[in-house]
Amino acid sequence: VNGSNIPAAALAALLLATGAAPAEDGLLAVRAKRILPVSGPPIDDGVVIVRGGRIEAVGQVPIPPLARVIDAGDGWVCPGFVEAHAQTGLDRGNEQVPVVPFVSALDALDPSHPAVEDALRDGVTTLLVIPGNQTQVGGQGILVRPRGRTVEEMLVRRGAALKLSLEPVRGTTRAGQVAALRKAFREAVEWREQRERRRAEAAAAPGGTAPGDDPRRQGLLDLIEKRIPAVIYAPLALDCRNAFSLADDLGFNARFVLGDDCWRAADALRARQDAAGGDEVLFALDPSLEAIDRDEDRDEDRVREVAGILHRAGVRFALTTDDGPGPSRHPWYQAAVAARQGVPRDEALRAVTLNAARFAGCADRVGSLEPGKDANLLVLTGDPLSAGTWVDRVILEGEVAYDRREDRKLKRLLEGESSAPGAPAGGGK
Amino acid sequence: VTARAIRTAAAAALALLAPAARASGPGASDPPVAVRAGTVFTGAGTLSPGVVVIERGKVVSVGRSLPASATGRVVDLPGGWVTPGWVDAASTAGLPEADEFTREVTPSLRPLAVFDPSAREVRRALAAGVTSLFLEPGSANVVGGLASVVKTAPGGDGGTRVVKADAALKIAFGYDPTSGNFPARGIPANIYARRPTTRMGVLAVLRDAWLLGRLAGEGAEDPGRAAVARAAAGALPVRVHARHAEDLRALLRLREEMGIRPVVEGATEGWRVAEPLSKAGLGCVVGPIAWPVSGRGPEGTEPALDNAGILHRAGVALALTAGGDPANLRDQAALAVRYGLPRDAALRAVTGVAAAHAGAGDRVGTLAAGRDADLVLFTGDPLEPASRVRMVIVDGEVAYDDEEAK
Repeated sequence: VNGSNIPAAALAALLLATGAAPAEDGLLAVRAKRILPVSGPPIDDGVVIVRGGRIEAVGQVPIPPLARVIDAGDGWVCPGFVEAHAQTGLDRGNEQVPVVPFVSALDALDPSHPAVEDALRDGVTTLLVIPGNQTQVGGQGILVRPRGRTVEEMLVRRGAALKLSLEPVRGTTRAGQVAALRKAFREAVEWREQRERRRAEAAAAPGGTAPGDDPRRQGLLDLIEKRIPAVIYAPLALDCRNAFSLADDLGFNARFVLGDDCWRAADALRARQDAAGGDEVLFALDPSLEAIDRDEDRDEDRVREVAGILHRAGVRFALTTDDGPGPSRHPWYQAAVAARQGVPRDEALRAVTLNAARFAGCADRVGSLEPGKDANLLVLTGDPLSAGTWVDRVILEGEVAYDRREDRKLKRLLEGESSAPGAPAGGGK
Repeated sequence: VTARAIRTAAAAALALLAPAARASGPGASDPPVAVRAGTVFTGAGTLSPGVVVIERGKVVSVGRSLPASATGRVVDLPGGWVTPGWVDAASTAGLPEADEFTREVTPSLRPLAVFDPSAREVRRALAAGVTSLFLEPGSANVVGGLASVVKTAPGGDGGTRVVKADAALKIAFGYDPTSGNFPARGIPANIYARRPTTRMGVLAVLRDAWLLGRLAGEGAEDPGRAAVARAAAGALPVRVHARHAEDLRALLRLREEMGIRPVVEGATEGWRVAEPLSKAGLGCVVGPIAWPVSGRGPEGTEPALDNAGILHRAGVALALTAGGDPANLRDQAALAVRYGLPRDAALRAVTGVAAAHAGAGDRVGTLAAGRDADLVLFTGDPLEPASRVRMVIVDGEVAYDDEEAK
């Protein structure tokens, strides 16, 4: 356009009026009735400015003239959900052999698995994909975005964590499980000492060759040498103590995925969190948020509301989802259940966004709407915790990665295979 | 108004009611209690605000404001909701086992006889606001037995509050009655050898049973044949479990020959035959709504998440079931609305219509003068998973109190 003598704003207004604005590449403004940045209070009638895949500004700020505008109307905007502990896209969760520090989810994640697409449809923009709980040293997890034709395209960070589990594998007792973990670590430590010795010897002797790395040991060495953290599964309250001492004795960084029994350990969890200091999120909760507390003597049982109990104990946590047919597969539902259990709604949303990002070690990039972070945000039809709210659009690193109006599969899921193409999908509001 | 204020107000008012009610049961001397809430769903429509007056275990009146003649206490839930007790219109909760495998035709089977109201899932159902169950045999038999309507709150004679003992005769189409049966080839050698082994075999066995029942007549000594005869004569409602469109079409053909107008249960592929079902005037009980993780539903059906909405829009009288743990009925209603069922239809599907399909609409499922005083008090919109059940009242008594349960 040859308009060098026309004021830029006037030009922009003219172009907007004719609907032919040549938006600046990578400059995006998302306008919504309500923005939930999670890192701060809600903003009504606000805007998120995105430039080059990152968030530039959030608030009641002017829209740059050359920005492409997405107007959410009465919709809400919140950060993309973060899945803190998932087996999404893995054909199976674990190896049969229980000590496999050398395997990585990187080598198994299928980008075309339906669960990957479902995650995006649900508004998940970052996942820690990591081996499952039926293991001892289960292998390495990776951070991914639910988009890409190859795992490399999906990859945000490899070697994000090493999976350990205190759930006894088949044929093992709880004590045996802990002993097996300690043995694996002892062997790794001994091997490392031996290697250091041989390296020193080789350096001292002229013409000596130093021993190289052993890829089979690398996962455990990375952990011991604090290059990656552990994610330890602790299904029962009693496992928490073992998980803590395992991490402390060997001096590695650890996060903990807690089974629903862990409401009993609320005080110990709080003490661990206080000792760690800062705003770290050390815990992620299993998808089951209701524990049956059985009193054999009185032949009674009570439902213990895990998220509510831990919140009241001052424990910060991430919520996770499952991959079953029920609603607990959706992050919004898990957050709503936490809210029902007495967790304030903003805290419940934090548990599936910023807390999950902190747990997964990626809060520097995602989890909240703050300038400088990746532009991962959801355009929602309303309150994220409401059952009637849909994810209308997912903006992933500044690009629209999902649009419900174009989601043919959702339409087919809703209406059956005979549904005619064209109409917008979803019950909506 | 905060949730705490609601709790306090409700607790204060009902604390007075509870001991008296418990001491005397649903007796003659209970004073009237008015429950006033921001929103009252009556099972048919919505009042905001609304007031329900209950006395001696029954609903006395329902209106927008407190009747001038009202005496007794008032329970206030300004930001809360009141609904009728919810009804799971297809349940096997509280049964040690639901399927009898020795024969494929067991019309005299009565799950009511072994129902345990103290079973964990029944207590959880009560705490979730589900106060009545259509209690039925499983779907393993062609003719499964007699379903009943019971309340989830313990009480009554023998520990169970029975709303209706003979609510319907249960029939199952499709593959469920064939699963695990003796293979088609070879000679059946023991009592576990059951017919049928195919879909058409199921229908043949059903015709046999119907013929024998009709020949025996309603006065037959054999209680099973008498039950079939009553069903064939229209004196006993019939419930048919059928998931596939083919089974639903078979039912549409067979119903005139059999002389029945059943309520259909399952109907996973109901969305394929919604119009014919509606034209035939057959009600449906659908659920559970499940995300098709493997791409398919039970029995290899093709599910549609908005099955309930499609059936409703076609004019089918629709109820929902949790299809397992009745405590999940609220999730079912919320998901049905998410996927396209109108809100009011969803609430009716777990109250008024569910009770009607269970054959107990004259007692439960709606709030109207003369109905059982079964009420659920919610802290907010019952279709939001974030809302909480504050209190459950059954026959005018506090059967579950959230504050006490904590």
